[in-house]
Amino acid sequence: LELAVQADPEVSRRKFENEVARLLEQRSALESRGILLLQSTAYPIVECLFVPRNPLRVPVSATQAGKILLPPGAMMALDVPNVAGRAFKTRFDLSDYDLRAPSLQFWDPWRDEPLLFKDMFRALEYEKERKAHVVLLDDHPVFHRPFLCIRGIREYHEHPQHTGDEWLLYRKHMSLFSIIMSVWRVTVDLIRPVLFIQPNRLQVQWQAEEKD
Amino acid sequence: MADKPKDQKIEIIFIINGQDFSVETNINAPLISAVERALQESGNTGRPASEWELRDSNGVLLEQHRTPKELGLKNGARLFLSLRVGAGGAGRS
Repeated sequence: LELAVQADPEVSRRKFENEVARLLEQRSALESRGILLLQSTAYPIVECLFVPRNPLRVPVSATQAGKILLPPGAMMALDVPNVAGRAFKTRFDLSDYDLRAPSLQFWDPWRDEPLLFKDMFRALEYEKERKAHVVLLDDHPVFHRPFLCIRGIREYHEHPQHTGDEWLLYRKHMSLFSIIMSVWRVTVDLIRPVLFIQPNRLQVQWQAEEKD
Repeated sequence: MADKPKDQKIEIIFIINGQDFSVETNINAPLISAVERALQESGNTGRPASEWELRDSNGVLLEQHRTPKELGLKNGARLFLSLRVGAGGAGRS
């Protein structure tokens, strides 16, 4: 995407350093959520490893709940405590920051390349009025790659459908730290993988916990 | 026996955009008053307090009209204050 206006690279670099310094100050808060700031971070890229924590859930046939016998076809959900979603890398590009919002891509931490949408987790936000809604979409109309459709992310603000919700309205009240916390909420905190076993196939659904 | 006045004051640390802002408040006062002071101190004026959400260190959303005493907050509690996520996206597929 070509923009007529660009941030002064020196100003952008200084703001990048401020943002990284804040991440380092809040390192314990990040790490307690399974967010690790990686040493590969270097202007203009900030890389974090996100480690999912909600265990896999598997619906299974159930014949009994406590002492109560259940009717045929009854199901119950079991958690598998030692299995969760795969870790992934968030790669924030702060070029032109903070004239433009940070751009975000999800990368495979093992192969060090962008994740394909078909291989990715799913991200959802939950709100009382809207209920759960998908915020990880497969193809951005401008950037042509999977993107997270939440405020604070370049791909959201530069989406043709969000022209009225400019980043410049929010940049004073947001930081990379707060954006990372929002990303964590919709990709890790709310999300639980559920495995459905069907004849000849397995299906994983990513469900959102109904919590504000 | 009622708390002495000095026992009713606690310090809450609000983390706003990755920076700590310490605010003293009464354990019986709704959190919203401390939230508004923290937003002011951090220069985050211009957006209504209702657009901000307050979470504890476990990510649990706290109701701002409740008091520190009701929420069991102790002196030195660290709370995260940030704008609501604000999402586009699609309905549940």
